[in-house]
Amino acid sequence: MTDCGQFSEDYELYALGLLEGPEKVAFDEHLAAGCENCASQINAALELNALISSQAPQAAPSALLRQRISQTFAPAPAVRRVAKRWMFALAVAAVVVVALAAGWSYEHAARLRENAVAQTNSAELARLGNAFRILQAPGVKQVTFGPQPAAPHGSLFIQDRVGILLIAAGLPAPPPGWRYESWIVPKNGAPKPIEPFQADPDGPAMSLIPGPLTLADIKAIAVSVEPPNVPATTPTKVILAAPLGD
Amino acid sequence: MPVEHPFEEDRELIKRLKSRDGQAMLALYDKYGGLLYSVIFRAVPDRATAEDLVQETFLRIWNRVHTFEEEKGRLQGWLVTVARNRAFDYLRSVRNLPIQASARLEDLEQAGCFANKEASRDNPADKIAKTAAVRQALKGLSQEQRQVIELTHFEGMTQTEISEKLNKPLGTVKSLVRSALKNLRAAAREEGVV
Repeated sequence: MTDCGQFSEDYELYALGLLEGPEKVAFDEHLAAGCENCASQINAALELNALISSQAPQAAPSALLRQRISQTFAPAPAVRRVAKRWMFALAVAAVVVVALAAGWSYEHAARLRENAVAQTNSAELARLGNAFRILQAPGVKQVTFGPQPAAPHGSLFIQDRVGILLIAAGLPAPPPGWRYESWIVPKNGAPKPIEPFQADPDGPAMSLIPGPLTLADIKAIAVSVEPPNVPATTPTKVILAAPLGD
Repeated sequence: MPVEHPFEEDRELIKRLKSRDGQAMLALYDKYGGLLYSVIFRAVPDRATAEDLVQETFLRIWNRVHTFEEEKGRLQGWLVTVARNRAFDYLRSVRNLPIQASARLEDLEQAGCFANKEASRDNPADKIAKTAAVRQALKGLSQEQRQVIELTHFEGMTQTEISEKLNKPLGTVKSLVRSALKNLRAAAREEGVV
């Protein structure tokens, strides 16, 4: 192998791709022979070159370039945002229509809509989208529960492949910091927690039980209140149990 | 109050890029887009072309990020190298010059070449010190030395091309380039840059 010394002043030019002629040929051959020292020196030269290049006078690209980068690498969120907006509007409208169809007052329906509109974060939009999918699913079955207005009352919208949507009103306010939790109550075995959710006192609330489900195995959908910072394993205080019906 | 560690932030960005998170590319652009544009615009002072080249640079980064070892890589050095090489490739193509050098350049663009043996030292203070040391070293060059370094590092010209442009003998240009690089290297080593 040739001596490294003869290349000691060429590392930076080589790393820039600017070494030429016999010097480049000789250096290529030397590197091809596997000189680890020179490979290491080239790495250092790359670093120095990068630092020199970084001294270029500061210039600002147009705002359009950022848009182009966004469209090239991250277009989905923009598309999803539009889709979510539509899904959000449709879901809110559908839930209100369903609430009115279920015999609720306009005040309750309006409050449900306000709650939905207030929940503008993406997770809530996704929930509303899923609620809408259940309401629109073919063969969806509605089962009402708790006909007394003072007690928890509402509807289950049931579709085995898509899931179950629970819309309930008249839920007693939980103690401060506590939360509502929905449960699947199977015909055999222990209740299974589904999701924590919030609702205004006396206001309508919504919980989703995602499908697919084997409806024949489910006895009811229940709602409990649960203390803060404790994972739901068994219902602490059941406030509602809505049978699925036949 | 803990100081945010840019190296840690870069590591997280690289992880997200490797998992093909397009939003991370936007974050990368927000952090380094200005620098890469500056590097390219210095070589290709046409806004529209420079922006096209920046976009191509980010595409190249996206396609090669899997080679980057976030545990020991120096992200900024790699990004600047990719951007500068993209600009040099473009200049060679418009100057009708051979671009066979690019093949080896692509090898040198492999992110693994930027392995940082002393990653723990790459903290914000070091970064500032390195930049300042190189800037100072550039200022310390003679006007002729600085001119040839600008032509090599910012405009991608070979020594032969510089010789023609400046109408100076090739031997003189080589001597200027080598002495300038020797000074920069020495200053950088004194500051622990390389």
